[in-house]
Amino acid sequence: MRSKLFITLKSPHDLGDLELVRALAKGSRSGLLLLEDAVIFAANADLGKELLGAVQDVYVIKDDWEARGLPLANPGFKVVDYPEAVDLIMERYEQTITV
Amino acid sequence: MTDSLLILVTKPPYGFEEAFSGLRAGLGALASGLVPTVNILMVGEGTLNAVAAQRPEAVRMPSNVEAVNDMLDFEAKVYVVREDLLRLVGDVPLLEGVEAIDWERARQVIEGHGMVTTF
Amino acid sequence: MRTMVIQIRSGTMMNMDTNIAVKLARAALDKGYGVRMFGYGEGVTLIKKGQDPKRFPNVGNETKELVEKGLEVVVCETCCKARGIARGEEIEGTKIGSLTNDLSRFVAEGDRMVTLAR
Repeated sequence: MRSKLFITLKSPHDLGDLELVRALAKGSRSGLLLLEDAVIFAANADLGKELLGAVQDVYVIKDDWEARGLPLANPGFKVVDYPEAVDLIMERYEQTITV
Repeated sequence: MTDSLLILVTKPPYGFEEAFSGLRAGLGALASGLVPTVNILMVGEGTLNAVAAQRPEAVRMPSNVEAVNDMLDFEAKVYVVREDLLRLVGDVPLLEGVEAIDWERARQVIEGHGMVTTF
Repeated sequence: MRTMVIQIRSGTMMNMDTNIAVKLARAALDKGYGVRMFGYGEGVTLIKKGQDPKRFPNVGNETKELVEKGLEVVVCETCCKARGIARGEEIEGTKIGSLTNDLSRFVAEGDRMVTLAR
């Protein structure tokens, strides 16, 4: 299966129950890149655990996370800048899917 | 270089422009002749775009039925994840020509496309 | 050259999606990738000349600067017409084009698609 990088701009409330992410991710190597209000996921240990149950890696875009002054509740999450996000999109995963 | 595009439709019809726009983007790609394979996958609330009983004239909106049929005319596949539809609204009739599939098959469909764009 | 296609469907003042589009485009260009951006739906507002968002980042100016660095930006003509944006109102170097000719070309020649929408 092609590896997949999911991208989301949605807050935990807007993204909902992660059912779509789970269904799309099953069986392939996958990561999730959190941008804008999606970085709120990074501050909540329970939500973070749920995300890491759906995908192998979670990436938090640095500037959106810093802007909101939130803690990083899950040490498994990786904080990335834009050049690193470009690497994820162009090199580290084979497909990108916005959710 | 990409020779196949999958339009992943997640939004329901009429409230948002998204689903219609996605179907039109698919049609544009097929009509261009530049992208040999373009298919549609409807998931979650996006499955409602395949409901046969739609009457877009009731809200004076462009027809998503017509947009689906245009894709089928161009020999695109229009897949609908049946379990998502069933969970949302039960076993309602679908437009002729669309293919109801399960998530296992849906993942294979995604696998078969170089690019995926979500609407 | 490997190319990133960014499809932007949010309006410039709706949320930060267009800001993210330009930040991603800049980082990808700096790394030597090709970047093409297609504005669809509300995303067509990106190329409107004369944007003046006061205290917010001016994505119009940033887009213009990136076009000079090699970014190709095309927006959907039908969507422009729907919003009363006419030819001649676009930022210099950007183009009002079409799904069939431009987005399809971007897809066919592109390597990754980043869809920025809600």
